[in-house]
Amino acid sequence: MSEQRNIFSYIPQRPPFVFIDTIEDMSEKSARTRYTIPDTCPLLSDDILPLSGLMENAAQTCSVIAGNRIAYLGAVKQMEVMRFPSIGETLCTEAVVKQEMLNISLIECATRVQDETIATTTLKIATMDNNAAR
Amino acid sequence: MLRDSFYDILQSNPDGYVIRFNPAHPIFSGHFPEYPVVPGACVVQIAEELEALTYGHPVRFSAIRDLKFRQPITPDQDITISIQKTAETMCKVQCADPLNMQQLIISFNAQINTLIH
Repeated sequence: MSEQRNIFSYIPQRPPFVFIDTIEDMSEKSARTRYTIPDTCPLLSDDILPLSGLMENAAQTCSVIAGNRIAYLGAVKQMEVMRFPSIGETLCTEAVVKQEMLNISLIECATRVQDETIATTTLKIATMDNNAAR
Repeated sequence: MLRDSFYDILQSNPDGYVIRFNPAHPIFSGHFPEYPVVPGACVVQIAEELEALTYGHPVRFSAIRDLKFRQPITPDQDITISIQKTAETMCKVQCADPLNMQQLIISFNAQINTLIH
């Protein structure tokens, strides 16, 4: 059983725009989250989670890696969706840092429902120290 | 579906669709509590909804390439979204300032899937 963490210590988003429920694992180079799609999800489209919602889920998983630094989603190099998940399905999204250049991280994400990979996303996150922002 | 709650279409002109956001929408209280900005994912969703209007039936973006967020969008800022077909199932989406279409805010290429639901 994974340790329960308060996700709001790790991401700046607040309800109703939160696309992760729990953080299953995290390090300086990776993070894994779970998200069960609620019927109140703000990005539903005909009871499925479209690409936009899967993108936000991946981006919020990436911001967990940034920890208490401020993270901006700068770019999505590529994203592919193999299947659109429905309300009630649980997404497990894993993000791994592939490359870091100054304050830009290139991160690869895979989103699974059980053993099935339903989406892959490669994105770029820019981070900034909290102190530097003030 | 975000249309008519999160945003409205002010007009459709040769540049594209002019979009106005609803600053009172609950999404802005969570993104972010102290400085509301339009989530980039919502712009992707809006583009998908606009493409469905063009086609006259639901469409889904099944892949995207080279999406760049160039600057934040505040809730009181109108944007123009243009969608151009680049191949049978591909389109190029550009989101810009309605008063200066050269001022790109977000751009990406999307693959359109009209069959899967």
